[in-house]
Amino acid sequence: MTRSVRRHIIVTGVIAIFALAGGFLLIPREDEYVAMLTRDGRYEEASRMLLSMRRAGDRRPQVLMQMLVLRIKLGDIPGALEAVEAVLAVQPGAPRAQEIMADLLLQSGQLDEYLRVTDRLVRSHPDTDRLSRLLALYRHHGRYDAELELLQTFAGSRYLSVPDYERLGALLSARGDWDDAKRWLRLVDRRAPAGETSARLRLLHVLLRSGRVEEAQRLAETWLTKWQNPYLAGRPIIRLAQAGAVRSAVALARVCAERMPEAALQVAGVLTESAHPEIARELLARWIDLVSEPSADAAITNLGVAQTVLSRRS
Amino acid sequence: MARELIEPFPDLAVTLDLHDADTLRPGVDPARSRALVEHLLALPQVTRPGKRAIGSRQARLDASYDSISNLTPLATASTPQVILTATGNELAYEAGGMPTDLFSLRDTISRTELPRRLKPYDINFHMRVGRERAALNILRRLLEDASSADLAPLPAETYADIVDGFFTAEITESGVSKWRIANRGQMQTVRFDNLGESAIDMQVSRGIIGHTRHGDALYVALDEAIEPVVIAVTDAPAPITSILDMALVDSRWRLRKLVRDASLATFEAEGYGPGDFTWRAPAGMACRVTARRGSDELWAGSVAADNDGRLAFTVPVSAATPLQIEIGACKP
Repeated sequence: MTRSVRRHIIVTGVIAIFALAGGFLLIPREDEYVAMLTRDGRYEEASRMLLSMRRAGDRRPQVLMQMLVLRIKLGDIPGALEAVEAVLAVQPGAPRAQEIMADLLLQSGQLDEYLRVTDRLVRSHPDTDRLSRLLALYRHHGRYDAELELLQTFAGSRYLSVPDYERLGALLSARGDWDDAKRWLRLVDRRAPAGETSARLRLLHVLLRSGRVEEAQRLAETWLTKWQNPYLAGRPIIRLAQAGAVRSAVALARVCAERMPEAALQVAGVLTESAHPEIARELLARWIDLVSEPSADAAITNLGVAQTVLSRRS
Repeated sequence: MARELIEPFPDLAVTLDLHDADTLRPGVDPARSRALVEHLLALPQVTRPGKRAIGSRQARLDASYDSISNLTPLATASTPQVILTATGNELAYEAGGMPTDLFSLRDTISRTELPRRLKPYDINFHMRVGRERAALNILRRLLEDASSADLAPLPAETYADIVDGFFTAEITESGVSKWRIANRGQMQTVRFDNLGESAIDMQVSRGIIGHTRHGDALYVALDEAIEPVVIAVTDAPAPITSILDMALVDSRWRLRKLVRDASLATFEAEGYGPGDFTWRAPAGMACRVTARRGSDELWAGSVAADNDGRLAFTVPVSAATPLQIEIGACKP
């Protein structure tokens, strides 16, 4: 055998070895094959293959996750729940798996379990939308203890919105926890848009219940200007009067006359209708001091109100 | 879709609402579509809707839509009135974003049945659902559940007639614990809530085929051949001593023209699947049951009531076309 022939045989041999190795490498691995079957919509076959891989001891998370995906694609809820539990067994707390599990529980009508899993997920992986949805569900189902506990857990974090804080304040005030209710409702007062009224009136209530009349009066004075609404302006004055803080109510009424002279007669009407003519009188007196010549339009429009106030006075 | 959701369920009524445009869509072979439609319409369980318009809206009562306000009324308030399906079709479940969302339909079906029936067991879907394997499998399982459930399958046209009857029915109190129901059309079931231990007084009532308790409610089956009917309730129902006192407990087929005399009870029946019946009868009473259509005897068998007075039997013939059933030759 010549040297060139020998070299030729060696080169051919090397090429053959590389070709074999290349061919071997090109054979799809089992999980690649599963992916191909899934892509082609052959879910049952892919599922069977994964099952045999699992039976052979393959517990890799991606295999388990692929099994879960296939069960979902096949609309097999019990199988999907089993698969997601297997995923969570090897990757406890995996957020995506927990999310899927929650969805599956919801779809199968297991509300208690859904709330439990979602609560756990929200606490481990906070997310504004998720938290908001869970809070709404607790509220919808009358689970106020769970709602309050969750709100308290996230109070002070960036995940709660202004309405969430208002709700927290409302739940706390419903339980007579005035100190904590005050704390969160004050925060709402600082953050809420100027026209927001319900949380502020609740704060007023909480402040009065905790004996903080001066603070209530001071805050109400700032709100009057922002609200510029006779009915809403009358509410804090009435609330102060109902709480026995008549002097503060009168003071607020006078402030109202000063800051909302155009609406003073209407506010007086609101007060009179609510059985507080004496405060209405103080408001009108202050208004008369300030507006020596009320416009003819305003006088005519509010003539009826003024008459009512005067008749109550007599 | 047809192979998986219609053909395997001959015991369930299927209403196929097809429009010409459905077979003339781009990408659809019209000849093949027409052949499929003809094949489906030839199946005994398949009917077309009647003249009444039937529509579907989102109607859910499940863990995600947890209020009966998410169910739809029986019909629209518009003119012409459109009868609404009891549950939403697959489109009602698309917002969830998961292929398995349709599984929630099972929740709606069970929550509208107990503690009192708000809606019938209804599964409705578009043909295109067949493109989605998950939806197809979920619907197939729901249909399997329906096949084994105690239901009286009805075509959509009959359901629309029942809804019409609901709107025209006039209920008047005609005495102490006694009501007269007139102009009810095809509405043949009345539900009593919170009736406690009281029961139907079969001696005083008129036009009643039977009654049963389910969940918190008492359901009374009326005979469509009797107009008006009278339902009386008593705290001391008379014992069942003979065939004259027999009352239906449940049935898969619809019954009408029930006549009982001292030795024979006869009625007309119509429905889908096997004729499963349970009657309340004297304990231990044995009878001969015969099913006929005209002069043809289709089936006959001997049956006996158990110690609790439940006379249960199955008539194993098709009742897609009405037939007559006799219960006679009874021995105590």
